[in-house]
Amino acid sequence: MRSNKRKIYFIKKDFQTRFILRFVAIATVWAAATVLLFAYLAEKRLERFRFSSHIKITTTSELLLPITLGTHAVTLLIFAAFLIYTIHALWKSLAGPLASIRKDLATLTGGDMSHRISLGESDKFNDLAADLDGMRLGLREKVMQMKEQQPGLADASAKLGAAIGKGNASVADADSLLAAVQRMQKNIENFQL
Amino acid sequence: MGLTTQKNYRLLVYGNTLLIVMLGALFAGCVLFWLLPAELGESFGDIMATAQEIRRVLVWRLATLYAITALLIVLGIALIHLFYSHRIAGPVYRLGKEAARIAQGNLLGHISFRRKDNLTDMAEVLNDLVARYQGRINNVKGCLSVIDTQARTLSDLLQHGKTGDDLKQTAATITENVDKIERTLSGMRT
Repeated sequence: MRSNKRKIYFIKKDFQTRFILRFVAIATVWAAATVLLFAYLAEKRLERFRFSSHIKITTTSELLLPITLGTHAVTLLIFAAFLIYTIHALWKSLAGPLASIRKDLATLTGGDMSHRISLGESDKFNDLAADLDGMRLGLREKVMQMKEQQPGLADASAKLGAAIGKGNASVADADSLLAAVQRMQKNIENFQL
Repeated sequence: MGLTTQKNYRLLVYGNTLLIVMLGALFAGCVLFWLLPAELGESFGDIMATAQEIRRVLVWRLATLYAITALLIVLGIALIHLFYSHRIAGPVYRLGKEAARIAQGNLLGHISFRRKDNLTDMAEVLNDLVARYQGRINNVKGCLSVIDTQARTLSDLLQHGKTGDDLKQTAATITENVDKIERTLSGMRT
């Protein structure tokens, strides 16, 4: 079994940057929205306070804590909802291409090596699709080399069979078959099994 | 079903992101009150003066504080999502490497991901693919081996001037295996 330890965490820079940026963006928007809402509400509260005739408040907490808690509660709730949407959208954008790749791989597993493994240009995992298509082409090329040798083998076998049937088979017929077998065995050596 | 993840992966992404932002909010709230005077004062005049002072500095301090908080949150989010994205990016990278290995004709390996990695089903699909092609190629290899043995036997028989049923039986075995190879190869559409 091959080692599956990976020490580099930033391994697919483009994919990971896009993944991270989604969350960074909504957190930044949350911070900006919180500041704006809090500043607006605090300003209104202080303005109202300025014109109060009866003042019972003596601490800053009494003055601003309700606004602080209210603002954060509202913005955090909105953030939580956006976060659900962001994760849902992210999963949707990842699931589609992977399902498509899996379908193409199933076709290849079934023996159809002519079907390309590809995704749309804007899809994620395009590099994985390209790697897997490279794998398909590599396997296809090797199988094609075997297929090219197969008629020679069938021909040599048919000739030998016919000669035996007629009773005039020779060692040369058997050697011709052996040579065809060896050519094909060379192609098999392209595979590590 | 497209993206197969480990149990609770999405919940962890959600929960930890929300937790970081909530901690940021708590930090910002606490520091804000620490930056402002705790008491407004005793007399009406003092209270009003303090309130006015708070009003004067509030927006600027608030903006500075939240800029710092946002930076900390962004760092926290970037760090945890680097790990979470790696749980997908790592297997994708590994699948690409394995694909390159298979393209070279290496059908020996078995792909296994780390316990917490996602996309384990993709590894299974690729393992299944490798096993199927390995089976097909081994089938051809086995048939060629039989043909090789039978062809040598036939050559020996012919050298010793043998004729009749022995030759026909050997030729039949050869034909049978040649047909098997043909069937196996035609099962792989190129």
